[in-house]
Amino acid sequence: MKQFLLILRGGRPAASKTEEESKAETAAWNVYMGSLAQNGHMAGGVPLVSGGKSVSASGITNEPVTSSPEGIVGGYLLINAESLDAAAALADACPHKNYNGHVEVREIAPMPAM
Amino acid sequence: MKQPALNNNIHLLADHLFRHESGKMVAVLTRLFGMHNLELAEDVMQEAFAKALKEWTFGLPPNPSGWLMLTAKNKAIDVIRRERYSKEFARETSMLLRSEYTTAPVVEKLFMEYEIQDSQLRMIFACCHPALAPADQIALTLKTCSGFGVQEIAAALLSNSETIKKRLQRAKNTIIEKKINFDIPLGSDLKNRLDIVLHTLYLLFNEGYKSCDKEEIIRKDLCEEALRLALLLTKNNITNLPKTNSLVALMTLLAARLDSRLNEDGEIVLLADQDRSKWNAELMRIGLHYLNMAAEGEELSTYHLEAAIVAEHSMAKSFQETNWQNIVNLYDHLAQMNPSPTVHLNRAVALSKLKGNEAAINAIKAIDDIEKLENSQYLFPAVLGELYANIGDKAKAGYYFKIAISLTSSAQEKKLLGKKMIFPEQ
Repeated sequence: MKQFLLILRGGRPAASKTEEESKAETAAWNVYMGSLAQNGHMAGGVPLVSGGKSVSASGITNEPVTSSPEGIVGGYLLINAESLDAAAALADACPHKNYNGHVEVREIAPMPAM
Repeated sequence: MKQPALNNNIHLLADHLFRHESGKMVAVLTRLFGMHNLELAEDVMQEAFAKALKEWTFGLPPNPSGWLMLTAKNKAIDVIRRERYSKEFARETSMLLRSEYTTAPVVEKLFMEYEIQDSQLRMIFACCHPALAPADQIALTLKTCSGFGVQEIAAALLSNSETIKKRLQRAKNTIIEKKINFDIPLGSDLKNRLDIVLHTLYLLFNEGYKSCDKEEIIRKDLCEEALRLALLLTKNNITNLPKTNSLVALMTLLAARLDSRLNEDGEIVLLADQDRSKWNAELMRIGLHYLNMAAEGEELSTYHLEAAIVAEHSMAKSFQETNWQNIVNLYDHLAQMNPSPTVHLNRAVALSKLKGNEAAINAIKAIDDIEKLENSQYLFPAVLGELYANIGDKAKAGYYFKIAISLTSSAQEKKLLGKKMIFPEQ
């Protein structure tokens, strides 16, 4: 079993959603998370607050990286899956894509022992 | 500024709340953390109370129990965030608690009123798990479901703190070794598991009921707790079975008489001499209601019969007007289901009112192993003494009363028996 990081980008800002839309989205997420947990795929995950800073050699800016056309990173999920394809299939079931979101699937690289 | 009076009140309130809320809190926290983390759940509950004692000195919150629950909830979330990658929590929630996305919703859901009750029920089943020794079940139930301290449990069970501590530790080890689950058994498992729960609650009730020491309010608390936990079982569709209702009926009907069992001097008052106007009419009404509920369905348990016997006494206007025929019939039925010497002895007492003292003496003498029982269990010689006294056989009455006195450790019982020796004709 390998681990994969699902990087969640974009999505609709909370302010633009009606109460019903919010509820429907939360319900869809609960179903998705529940099934990840039930099938032993869930390993972790956190949402991020929208603001942030960017740090590089050219200095520190007062906002997160926004250059990606898919939007800024809004959170991640850590999942267990057999393969990259299986992980992508799990990501495909994530409701995020139905709400203007984008999910990047990346395998966790085990660091070799020194 | 120190406010000693307020401080004192806060401690009293905290004590009161502890009894009432700690069981709930530990149940919900254990549902989150898993039965194997029972001690962690207890720690979090204790921390919430410690925080209350500290903060309430500056003023009470408008809803103290709500405040405690909220504090426990926030502390639980802290623990989960700190330990989510290093600890296995409850199987049912562990994975969801690993993700920050789902932690708060899962915790929120389990702290909802309906789920709290469900968790309390699971805790009763876990504490009365058949893998635990019966004595350990009782101690663990009192500690975990009822918020009794070690000393209180020791006092309530006429034991000492060291023994209780050992029992609790043994129970906790067994929970981990045998991987005892935190769930409500379903299907064919339910009947057996519920039987054990009901039996343990009845034992708990009896520990309090048969107590003779008026000072020991704690023993009355035992009765209340047993009844409260049994009532919880009637609030869930899965466990609200006729047998459960019959046990609630039995406990309630007995509890109705609790205050008339001892007189002002703390001496036992026999059923025949009890002031029936002191019986709690409200409890009797509730008891009869549950007995009606218990009549649904096919199952007839020993609790049904015992409750029916107590109900028969409750409905009699006076001791003389008791329907002894009904009571003897019920005991006949009970003796078929549970042919224990005690049931036969009680049947004989009822028979003495119906057929006379000789018939009762003959019935007792016919009990298996009666020679052994006469000399080992005080109720047997006490009843025989009484029956012989009734027929004027002073020699035999005195003989049996003497054995009875040597067999009981209760000062009240010794006193009662002593009186009978002086005035055996009464």
